Order: sequence, then structure tokens, then C-alpha cells
Amino acid sequence: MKTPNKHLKGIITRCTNYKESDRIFTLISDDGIMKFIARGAKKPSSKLSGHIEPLNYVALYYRPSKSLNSVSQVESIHSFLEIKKEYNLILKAQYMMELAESLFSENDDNSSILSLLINTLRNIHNSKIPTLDILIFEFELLKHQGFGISIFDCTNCDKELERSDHYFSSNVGGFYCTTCFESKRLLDQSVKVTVGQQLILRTIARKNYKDLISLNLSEKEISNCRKLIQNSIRDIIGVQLKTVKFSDL
Amino acid sequence: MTSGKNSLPVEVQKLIIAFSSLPGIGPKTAQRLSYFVLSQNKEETLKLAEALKEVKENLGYCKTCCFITSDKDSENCGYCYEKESEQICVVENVIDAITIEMSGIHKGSFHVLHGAISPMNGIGPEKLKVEELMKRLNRGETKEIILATNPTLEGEATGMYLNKIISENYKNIKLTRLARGLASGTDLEYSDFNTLSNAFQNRTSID
Repeated sequence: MKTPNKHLKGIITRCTNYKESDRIFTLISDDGIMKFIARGAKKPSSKLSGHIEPLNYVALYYRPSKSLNSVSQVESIHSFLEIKKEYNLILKAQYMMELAESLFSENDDNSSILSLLINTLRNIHNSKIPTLDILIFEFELLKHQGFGISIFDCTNCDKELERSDHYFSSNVGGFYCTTCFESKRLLDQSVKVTVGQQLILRTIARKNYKDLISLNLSEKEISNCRKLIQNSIRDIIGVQLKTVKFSDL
Repeated sequence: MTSGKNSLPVEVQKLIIAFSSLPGIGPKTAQRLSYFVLSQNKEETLKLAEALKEVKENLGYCKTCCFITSDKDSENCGYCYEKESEQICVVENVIDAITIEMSGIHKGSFHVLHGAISPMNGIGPEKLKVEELMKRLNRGETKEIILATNPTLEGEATGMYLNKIISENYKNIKLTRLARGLASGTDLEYSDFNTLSNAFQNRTSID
């Protein structure tokens, strides 16, 4: 008996050419990460060709298979053309897609992560500081996946952190208060974080995104905050993402 | 007696591994190809081995245009001498250069980048033959660069990167890229937003 076609919406993250004219692509959707084959998609006359491109939000119909699911219809919902016109934004978008790919769960509902990714991609081209949007994306993604960074309290003794410089450990995903830090002597595993950087992270954690603009943030401050988050990401997924070095350009 | 792949002679196992390193060849196809090689007569197989050996020993990439050449030690290949260097068409792969050359449309020379910028695969501009292109431009003979990278996300990113560095450093060089829009034989109904947007932006007047 023939398996009925299924319908799915998601963002294409990667594409590879296969055989003479086929393309294999990866889609991140509410159902997780899936691979598909689009037969004949490399041919100029193919109805699928233009739609199967990384960074396209698409709706597709596919025939489930034991190996690769074969797509029969693809339609673009959003192509993020504004991003595709700027080199730096393409690199940033690719970083966000790789990050989302690496933190997507197989069996859980991923709809909120997908919406977070789509919303960030929709807004990033209008942003005055795109790296700030990426920082918010990284922070929210970690939080959603259960790896949220503990910002307000000490990760060791749970005491509220005072307004001063503190040490951040990516291993534990949070800050140490001065007493715990001195007693544990964790200098080699921790990074000193200034009050200013903590303020950025606290504002993001409170979702007061409008207040971030009034803080007159410099690229350097945002970059330092991103380094903290990126170290946490590296510790969580166990590898450095390939696109990290391109996302700061 | 051991069973499975391990019971095969080492030579056959080596051949299977060698075939599976080729793009598009999985372990099953590699096995099938290996058994085919075994069933072939010696002469035919040695012809294939000789051809593979010759390709690797005699051919290389030109230091100027990065196209395939048999003069791998000289600075310019025969192809570079033949063609005008006033107009350089920049392509991603050798096969793209051959396709354009076969069409007979482009009379100038080529520059092969050997890939495209692809952050997802860890490929940045430093892994492409961009430095070689800059060396060519420094000679001052070039008047126009035609960016003929593929109209994919990676190809577009590569084109944008080259556009940025060439326009910043070589103000007298004209930069063009291949037209984007609807391809012959396509249906407007099935076109994606990007193609349609390009087609509208690059529309031409009917004379």
C-alpha cells in the first residue's frame, strides 16, 4: 500500500548536490531535523529548484520512506531576501541555523525554537546592532533547551549576587559569588565578568529588550557577552560550531 | 572461517574502501564495483589504473588561473597565454569554466576559485583561490571581472565577498555578475520569491 503524503513547514539549513540532478537537503521543523531528497531539483526547469535553498522557510509535501524522504512539492513561505543581499548577514544567519540545528531535540516539540529562529531572521536586517540580536537568540535558545544561564544567583550557594564583578564558569553555566569563588579557587576555569556585561545579560534575561538600546552598548561589550555564551554552547554540545568564527564579521 | 567483510582478501577490502571514498559511492556500490573490477580482464583494469595514475602524476592546477594544466610547474598554463586577461570570468569550479567555454560566449580568461564560501562546512575565503586572483589583478592588465558564481546562497556570498574586496582595492576594474532571473523553460507559477524578485529588478525594455 502506498504511504500517504505528509505536510511540513520548516527552514532549510543545508543543501548538497546528489547524483546528476538531485539535491539532498536538511530541514529544521517542529518535528525536529529531517533530511529530504528532491529529485531533479538541479534542473533549471524543475518546479522545486528555486525553493530548495538554505535559508528558505518552506512548506513541503513528502513521501515518508525508510531511507530519505522524497519531496513532491515545495513552496517558499519566506526567503529572507534582505539577509541574502548582505554578506555579513548571510554569515550570521548561517551561524544561527547551525546553532539551532545543534540544539534541536529529536522527540520534543520544537515549535518555539523554530519561531524564535524565524523571528530573529525576520528582524535582523532592520537591527542597528545585529550581534545583539544574535546574543538574545543564543541566550533564549539555551534557556529554552534547559541550559539557561544562572545570572541572578550564585550557582554554588544560591545567594543573590551583589552588584560587583563576578566570575562566570561555562562548565556550571553560571556565576560564582566572591565567597564561593575564593573558597573554591576556580580561577583557571572561570572568566571575570564586569558589572556592565552582567547588566546586559540581566536585561536580556528580564526580556527588557527595549532597555538594551538605551544602554548605548558597544560592539566590544556585546562581543564579550557572546564569548561567555559561546563557551557555554561549546561545553553543552561538545564541539565548536563551524560557523562561530564567521558570525562576528 | 570468519564470515562477512573481514573474510575477504585484504586487497579487495582496500579496493572497497578506496571506491567508497568517491562522491556518491556508498559501501554497497563500492562492493559491486570491486567485484566488477575482479571479474574484468587484466588489461582493462590496468588501463583504468594507468589513467588514474597519469591524472594524478601529470596534471595539476595553473598557478595563475587555477584551471587544470599539464604544465603544473610553470607560472602560466597554455590556456592563460591563449586568452585575453582583460576580462576574467570568476567561476566556482573547473566544470563551470568548461561549460561557459563550450558555449563560446566568453572570449576572455577564467579564474577558478575551487569552491564557494560555506560557513556551515567551515569554508571561508582563505580556503579559496582568492589570493591568486588578487595577484592577477595586481598585474594591472584586467579591465573587467565577471562574477559567474552559482546563484545559490554560497555562490552569492562568495560573489558579495569578491565584490567587496575588489571594489575596495581596485577602483578601475569594472565588476559585473551574470544576470539573475527566470530560466528558459520554467513556469512563472512555480518560481520562488528570490528568482521573481531578481527577474523584476533586472527586467529589460522591449526594443
